[in-house]
Amino acid sequence: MTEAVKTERKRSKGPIRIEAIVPITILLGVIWAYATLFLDGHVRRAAEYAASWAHGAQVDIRTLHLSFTEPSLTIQGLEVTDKDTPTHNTLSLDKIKFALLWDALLRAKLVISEASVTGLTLNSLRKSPGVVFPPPPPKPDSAPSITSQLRSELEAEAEARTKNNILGDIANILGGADASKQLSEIREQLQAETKLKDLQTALTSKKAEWTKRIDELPKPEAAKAVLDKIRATKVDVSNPTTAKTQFDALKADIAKVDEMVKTYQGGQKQLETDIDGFNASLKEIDDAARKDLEALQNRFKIPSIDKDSITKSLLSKLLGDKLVKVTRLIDQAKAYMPDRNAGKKNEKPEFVPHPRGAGRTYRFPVTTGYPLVWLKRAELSSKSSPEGFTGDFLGQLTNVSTDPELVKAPTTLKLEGDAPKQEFRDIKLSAVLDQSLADAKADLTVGLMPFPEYLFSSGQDVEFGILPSTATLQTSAKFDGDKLEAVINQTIKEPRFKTGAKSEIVASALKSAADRIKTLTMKISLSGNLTHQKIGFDSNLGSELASGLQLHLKQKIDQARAQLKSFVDGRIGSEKARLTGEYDKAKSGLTGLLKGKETEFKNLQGELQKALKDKGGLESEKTKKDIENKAKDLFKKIKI
Amino acid sequence: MTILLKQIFGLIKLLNSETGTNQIAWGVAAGFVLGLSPAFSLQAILIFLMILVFRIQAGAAFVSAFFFSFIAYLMDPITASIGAAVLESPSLRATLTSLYNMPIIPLTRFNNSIVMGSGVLAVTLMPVVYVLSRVAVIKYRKTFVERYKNTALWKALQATSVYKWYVRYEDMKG
Repeated sequence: MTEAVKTERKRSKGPIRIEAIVPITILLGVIWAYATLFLDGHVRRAAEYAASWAHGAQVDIRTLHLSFTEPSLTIQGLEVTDKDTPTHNTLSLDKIKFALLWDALLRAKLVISEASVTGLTLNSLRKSPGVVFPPPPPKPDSAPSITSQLRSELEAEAEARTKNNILGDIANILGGADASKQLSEIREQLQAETKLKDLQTALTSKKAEWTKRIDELPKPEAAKAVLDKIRATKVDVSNPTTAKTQFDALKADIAKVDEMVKTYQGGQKQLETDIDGFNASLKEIDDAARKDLEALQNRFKIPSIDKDSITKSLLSKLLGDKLVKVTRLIDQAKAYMPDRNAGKKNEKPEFVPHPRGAGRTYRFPVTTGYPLVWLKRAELSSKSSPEGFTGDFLGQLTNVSTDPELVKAPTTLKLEGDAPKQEFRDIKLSAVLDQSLADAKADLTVGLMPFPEYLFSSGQDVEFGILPSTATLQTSAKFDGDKLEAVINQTIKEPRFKTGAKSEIVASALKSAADRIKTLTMKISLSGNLTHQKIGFDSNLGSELASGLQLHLKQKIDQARAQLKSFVDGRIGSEKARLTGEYDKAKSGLTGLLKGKETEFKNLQGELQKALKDKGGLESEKTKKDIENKAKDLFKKIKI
Repeated sequence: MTILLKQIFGLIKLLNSETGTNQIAWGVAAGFVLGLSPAFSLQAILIFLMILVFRIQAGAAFVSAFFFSFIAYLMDPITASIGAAVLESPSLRATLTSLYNMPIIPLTRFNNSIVMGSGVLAVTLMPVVYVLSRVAVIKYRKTFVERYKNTALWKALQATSVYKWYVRYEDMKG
C-alpha cells in the first residue's frame, strides 16, 4: 500500500520542472544585478581601453550608462588626448547620447536612431598629460605615407629657407656687395677653360691627321704621266686594226684618270666635312662658358626676380605647414574612402552563396534589414567656454554606416558657428561622402580669423614678415573616384608687414614694395589621387614684391651679371681667340690645297681629251663607218 | 562536471526503474536535436532551456547529444546538400528572404547549408527518434531489468540492510 502511494506521488509530477525554475530565476536576478551595478563600469573601461589603442593615445570617459528598457548609450566627459601634445586634448565632449533601436538589436545590428553630441571642445588643456602609445612599426613592404614624406622634405629645408632665403640674396645685391675680390680669389679651372685646352690638343692632332689624309689622296702627277704617254704615242693609221687597239689602250688610260679624279673628289668632300665639324666643337666652349656663368650666379647668389621664385622661397614653409595638415587628413581619409573599382567588382547580387569552412552561408536580399552599424542622425552643439578651442556651434551628422549601399544615403556633416574666444567668425563646414559612388566633397569657410605674426625671412641682413592680421579662409576638397582636387585659399586684407634690414637701401626698397600690397592672397592646390598629388603654391606676395623690387634691383642684378660675364670672358677670351685663329688658318690652308689640286685634276682631264682627239682617237662617226665598210668589203672578197 | 555525472547516474537509475519512460525518450530526442544543432546557436539555447524547464531527462539528452554530435559530423556532407537544396529552392525563396529579414531568426544561422540541413533532419526525425527510444526503453526494461530482478543475486542484495537503508534514504530525498 505504502509503495503504491509513493509511486503514485512520483508519477503525479507535472511536465514542468519546478525545481529548475528557481535557479533560473536566481541566475536572471544575478544577471540583472550585474547589469545594474557593474556593467556600465566594465563597458566604460573596455571602451576606454579599446579607443585608446585604436587612437594611439589615452582616451578617457567620465561616465557611461547603458539602458535596456529604452536602449540607449550615454557617454559623459569624453576626452581624447592629442598625440603630439599630450598635455592637451584633440577633442573633448561633454555628453554624447545614442538612442538605439530594439528592432535592430534583435537582428544583432547597431542602429542609432538619434544621437546628440554637446559641449564639443578642441585643443583643451588636460588635468594631467595623457599617455601616448608608441606608433606601430611600419610594414616592410608599405610605402611611407605622403604626410611623412612631405613633412620630412619640408622640414629639412624649411629652417634654412627662412633664415637664408631669396630676400637675403636680394639684400646682398642691393647692399652693393662687390664680387670683384671674391672673383679674383677663384683659382679653380672653369669648365670653359678645360674645354679650351682639350680642343687645342685635339686641333694639333687633327691638323696632322688631315695633312696625312691629303697626302693619301690621288695626285695630279699621275694624270700628267698619262697625258705625256698619250702625247708620245704614234698611232698606225695605215692599219685599222692596230689603230683601234692603240686607241682602246689610250681610252682605258683616260678612264683610269677619271676614276682617280672621282676618288680624289670623294676624299676631298669627307675632309672638308671633317674640318667644318671641328668648328661645331669650338661652339661647345660657348656652352661651357654659359654654364660657368650660371654656376657663378648661384655661387654669388644673384637672385631671379621672377614672382614664382620669390613666392616659393618665402612661402614654402608657411604653405608647407598647412599642406602637412591637409595631407594628414588625406591619409586619414584614405582609410575610409572606398575603392571605386573594388565597388564595381563587388556589386551585390540578389542571391550570393559563398563557401565557408563548414557548409555554405547564403545571403538573401536585405529588404527590411539594417547595416551592422548605422548612425542615422546626430545633433551636434557646442557652447563657448573659456577653455580650449570652443565656440557656439550647431551642426548635424547623418548616415554614418558600415553599409552605405544599404542605407542608400550619403554621409553628411554640417557645422556652423563662431568661436568668439579665438576670434573665428562665420565658420561653415560642409562635407558629403557618398561611398556608393566613391565621391566625397568637403568645404570649409571662415569669414574672419586671426593670422598670427609670421616671419617669411629672418636672416642677418634682412627681416621680413607679416604682423598680426585678420584673414578669411576658403578650403574645398573633392574626391571623385580616384581623382583628388583640393584648394586652400587664404586672404588677408590690409596686411601690415614687418620690414627691416642692415642696409638702408634694402630696408626702404622692401618697405616700399610691402606698402604696395593691399591684399595678400595665398593659395595651395593639390591635384592627383590619394597617393600621389601635384602640389601648387601661389601668392600675390611674389609678384608684388618682384614688381616693387624690380626698379631697385634690375640695374644691380644686370651689373653683377655683367661683372661675372667679363670674368669668364677674361679667363678664356685670349685663348679662345688664339684657338679660333689657328683653326681658321689651318682650315683655309687645307681647303685651298684641296681646291688647287681639284682644279689641276680638271685641267688635266680636259687636256687628256684634247690629246686623244689630236691623235684621231675621237674620230667622227663617218670615219668609224668607213672602217666598218672596209672591213665588210674585205669579208665579202674572202667569201668570193 | 558533477552536474553532468549526476544526470548520467540519474539516467541509469531511471532507466532501471519502472517510471520516466517518456522523460528518457524525450531526453534522447532533445539530445538528437541538440547534437545536430550548431553550438552557441539560438536553437541550441532553446533546446537547452526546454531541457531545464520541462521534465526531460537531462542525462539522456546530454548523452545522446554527445553521441549524435559525432553522427552529425560524419553526416555533414549529406546535411550540407539537404540544406543547399532547401536554401536554393525557388519556391522557398520568398519565405527564406522574409525570415532573413526578420528579427531574431537570423541568429539561428538558418542560412548556412549545414545548419539548415541538420535542422530539417532533426525536425523530421525527432518524432521517429522519440518513438524508437521509447520502444527501446520499454523493451530494455522488459527483457534486461525484469530478468535481472529475478536473479538470486538481486534478491539477496534486496534483503541486505544496506539496500534497505539506501531505499529509505531515497524515499526521504523524494
